[in-house]
Amino acid sequence: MENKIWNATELYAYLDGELLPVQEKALKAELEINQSLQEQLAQQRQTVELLQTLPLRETPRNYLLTPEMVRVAAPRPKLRRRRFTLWSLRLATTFSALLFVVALGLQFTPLTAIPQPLAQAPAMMEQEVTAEMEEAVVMEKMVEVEKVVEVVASPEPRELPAAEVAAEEAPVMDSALLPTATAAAKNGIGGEEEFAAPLTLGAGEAATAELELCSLTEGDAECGSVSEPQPETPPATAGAEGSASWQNEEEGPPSQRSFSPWWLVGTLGLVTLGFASATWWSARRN
Amino acid sequence: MAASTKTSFNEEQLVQAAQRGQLPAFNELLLHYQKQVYNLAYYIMNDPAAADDATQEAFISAYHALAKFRGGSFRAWLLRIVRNACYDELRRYKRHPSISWEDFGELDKEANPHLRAKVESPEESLQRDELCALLERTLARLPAEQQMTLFLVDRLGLAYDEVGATMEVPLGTVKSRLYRARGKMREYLMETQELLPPRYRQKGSR
Repeated sequence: MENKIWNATELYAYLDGELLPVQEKALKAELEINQSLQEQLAQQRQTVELLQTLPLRETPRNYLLTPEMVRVAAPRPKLRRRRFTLWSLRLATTFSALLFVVALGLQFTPLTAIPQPLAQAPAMMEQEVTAEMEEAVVMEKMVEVEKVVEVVASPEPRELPAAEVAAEEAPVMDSALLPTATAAAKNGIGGEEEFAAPLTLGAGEAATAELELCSLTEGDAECGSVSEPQPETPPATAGAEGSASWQNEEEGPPSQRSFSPWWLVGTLGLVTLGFASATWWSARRN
Repeated sequence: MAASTKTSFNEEQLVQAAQRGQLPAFNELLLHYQKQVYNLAYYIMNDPAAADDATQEAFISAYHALAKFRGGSFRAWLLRIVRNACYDELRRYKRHPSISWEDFGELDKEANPHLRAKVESPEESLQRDELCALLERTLARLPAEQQMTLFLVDRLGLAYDEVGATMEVPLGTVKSRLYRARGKMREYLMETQELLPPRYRQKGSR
C-alpha cells in the first residue's frame, strides 16, 4: 500500500468519508509524508467546502399528514382507471384510423388492380340476368304479335283449320320457340297444298307485325324477308354470347367500382373522429 | 455527510411503526426529512409553488407506498419518490429542469435559522450573495446528471450508496460523476477566482 498512487476519486471519497477503514488508514499515513498529496487534498477540500457554502432553502410550511389527507388521497385506483381508459381510447382511435385509411385506400383503388375473375364476377352475374330478362321480353312480344295476327286473320270468311293457321304462322315465328305448332304442321294436319292457298291476311298488317317482331330481335338487317325464318338463339347460345360480350368488356375501360363502399368509409371516418374527440377529452381530464 | 450522521432518532422503529399504519410515526420521519425533500423538489422543479405541491404529493405517495419499503436507506427511498414525482410533473407540464439557486440566498437570509443566528455585516451579506450567484452560474454549466449528483452529495449530504439508490445508478457511476463534477467546478471557479472570497483563491488548479 506504500507505493499506491492516490487518485482524485479516492481523495474525494476520503473527504466524503466513503473510503474503507483500511484505505483511510493508509491514506492518512501517506499524507503525513507526502507533501504534494497534502496540497492536492487541500485543493479538493476547498472545492467541496465552497460547494457546501450554499445553504438549504427553508420549507414554506410543514407537510404533516392528517388522517383526512391520507383518506382523501386514497382513491388512487381511480386515477389508474382513468389512465387505462385514456390508453384504451388512444388504442381504439389508432385502430379505427388505420381501418379508415385502409378503407379509403380501397375506395380509390380501381378493380383492375384486383385479379380479373374476382373483379368481374359481379358483372358476369348481372349480364346473365339481363340476358334472361331480355329473352323473356322477346317472348312476351312474340305472343302479343301472334294474337294480333289472329285478330287480323279472323274477319276472313274462309275458315282455316287450326293446324293450317299454325303452319302459316310457323315461318314467321321462331320454330324453336313454337315447337308444338311446327310439329303439328309437319305432321300433315295442314299440308303443303293447303298452305299454298293464299291466305287473305292483310299484307300491310302482316308486314307491320313482322317488323315489330324483327325490331325485338338483334339482327335488323336480316329481317328483310318475311318468309325467311329467324332462328332464335337457344338458351345455351345466348349464354355463350353473354360470356363473349363480357369478355369483350375486359378490353374496354376498367370498372369504376371498388371493394369498400362509401358508407363504410364514412362510418369509419365518423368513428375515428368520435374516438379522437373522446381521447382528447379524456387527456384533458387527466 | 452531516445530515446522514445527525440521525439521533430511531429511524428504523419509526419506519416500522409507520408501516403498521401509525400516522404520528410517519409524521416524525416527515419532519426530519421535509427540508431535504423540499429542496430536492425545488431543485428539480425550479419553482416554489410546484416544489411545494410535489413535496406534499410525494409524502402522501410515500405514506401509501410504505408497505413496499423493504429496508435500506429510508431517506434515499423517500428522495427517489420525490424525484420521480417531480419528473412526472415536469413531463406533464413539459418543462425542463434547470438549476436556479437565485432565490435561495434571498429566502435564506430571512428563513434559515443558521444564517439568522449568525449576525452578518452588510459587507458579509453582500459577499455571500455574490458567491451564491457565482456558484449558481458555475453549476449551471455542468451536465444535468453531474449537477444532480453534486446537489445530493454536497447540498443534501447523502452518502454515495444513497445517491445511487436515489438516482438509480451504480455506485461507480456516482463516484465518477462526482469526480468529474467537482473537477469541472474547480476549473470553472478558477477562471473567475478574483470573484471568490480571499480564502478560496488558489494559485494552482486541481
